[in-house]
Amino acid sequence: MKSGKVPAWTLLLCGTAALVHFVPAIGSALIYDRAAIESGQVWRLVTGSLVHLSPRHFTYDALALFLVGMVAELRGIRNLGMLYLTAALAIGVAIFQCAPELKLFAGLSGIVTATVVFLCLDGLSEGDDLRWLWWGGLFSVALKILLEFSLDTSWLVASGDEAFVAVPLSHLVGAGTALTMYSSARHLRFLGQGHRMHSSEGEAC
Amino acid sequence: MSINVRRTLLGRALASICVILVVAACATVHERHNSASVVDFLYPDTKDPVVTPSVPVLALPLRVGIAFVPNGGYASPVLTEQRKMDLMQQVADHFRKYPYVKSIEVIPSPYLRPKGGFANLDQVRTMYGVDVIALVSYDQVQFTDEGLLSLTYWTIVGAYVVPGEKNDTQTMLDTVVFDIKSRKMLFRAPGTDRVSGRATLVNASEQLRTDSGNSFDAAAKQMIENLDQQLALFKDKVKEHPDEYQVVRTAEYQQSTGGGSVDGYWLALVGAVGGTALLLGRRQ
Repeated sequence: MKSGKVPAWTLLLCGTAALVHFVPAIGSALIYDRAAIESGQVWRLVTGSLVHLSPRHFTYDALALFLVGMVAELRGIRNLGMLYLTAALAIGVAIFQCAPELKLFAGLSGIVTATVVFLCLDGLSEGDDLRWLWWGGLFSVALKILLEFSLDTSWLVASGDEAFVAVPLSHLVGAGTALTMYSSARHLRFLGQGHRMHSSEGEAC
Repeated sequence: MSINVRRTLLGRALASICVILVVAACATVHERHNSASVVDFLYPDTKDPVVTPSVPVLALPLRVGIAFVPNGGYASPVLTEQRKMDLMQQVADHFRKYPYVKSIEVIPSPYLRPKGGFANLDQVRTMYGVDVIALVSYDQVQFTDEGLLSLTYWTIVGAYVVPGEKNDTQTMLDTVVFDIKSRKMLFRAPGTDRVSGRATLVNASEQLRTDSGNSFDAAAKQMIENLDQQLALFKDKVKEHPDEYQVVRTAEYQQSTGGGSVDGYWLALVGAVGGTALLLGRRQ
């Protein structure tokens, strides 16, 4: 674990999400709006993840992303921004293709899922004493996605206070994106040194 | 001798009249007043019985209309139909993102008639299929004072180059949101602005129009910000007073808006994995 490293990508993403949440005019221009995307505003496929539909929705998503993103960056995973961007795009495209009934979509949780999965895969590649933790994390993510698909809801939404349906597809696509990027990184080596996803201690900046 | 005295007196009298005229001219205040009142539109005849609102049933997602209240008299030369449409479009774009808003229809002025009342709104409801309407009213007053510099107008050139006209423009835009069927006012949000400036005599009216337009724009910006706040307050109010507002979430509403949401399970998972990694990672 590298101490003193600033989790820049995570702070940037959380900060942007906060800005979007607290300035509704920006949110209106960025939210995944199927009709607007069909009329040519394709950036909404990517930016929809930055928007949130309620204060609690934002708080939960931003808190989770901050925690897992910070850990990932502190562990030395580089170019996490690439993962965030790819996951956001993949989620937007997947929802556009597979969920035509959704007129609006918002939320960072797909990216949170991608980050958790990526962190766990990266941890496993290190072969350290925390293997049980990484396997447990992956198992929990898989279990959660299965539960969401089978129950077709999530606890936050099921509580009745939120005015939207949960979209397990975003979590599945987030996890899939992380797996794909991890596999690609092993071959392309663009995220770290060698097959490992994080920068080594002795690596020059 | 007496002729000289008479001439002197005549001269003084003329000079005094000139001074009085100039001072009077300096003190001249011109006022322009443009307004469109939502009360005049909705309750035009005070002899009518008071409209008693019933409990509104808000079926989400709402179909919202937005329209400028028609003014019965002199219309603002600046607030053209195009400007009204642009302003309403700004408001509509701002609120389109909310999942509980299914659509926002910008309704042109000709569809509302002065003193049309709720009967007119019922017609709009039928024509546009809207449940809720946001009525935008305005009140703008412009004052023009001629300052001391206006004395230079006597030189003719001064009227072209010296900004002796002091303009003051005060604007209030107000959006009030009604549930048409129940006649119930849901919430309102105002936006105000004041613009002060100077102009030469020859471009005074042009400057007034510019000030008027700028002031409308600034008031609209503030009104949109206030709409956000009032909407948040209204949502709280609906939760606190379920007996006053009924909210029905349609199946369409439930299915059409998706949230990628982190819930308690995710938070616990992220907390466990992240926290443990941080803790044990540091030890190692």
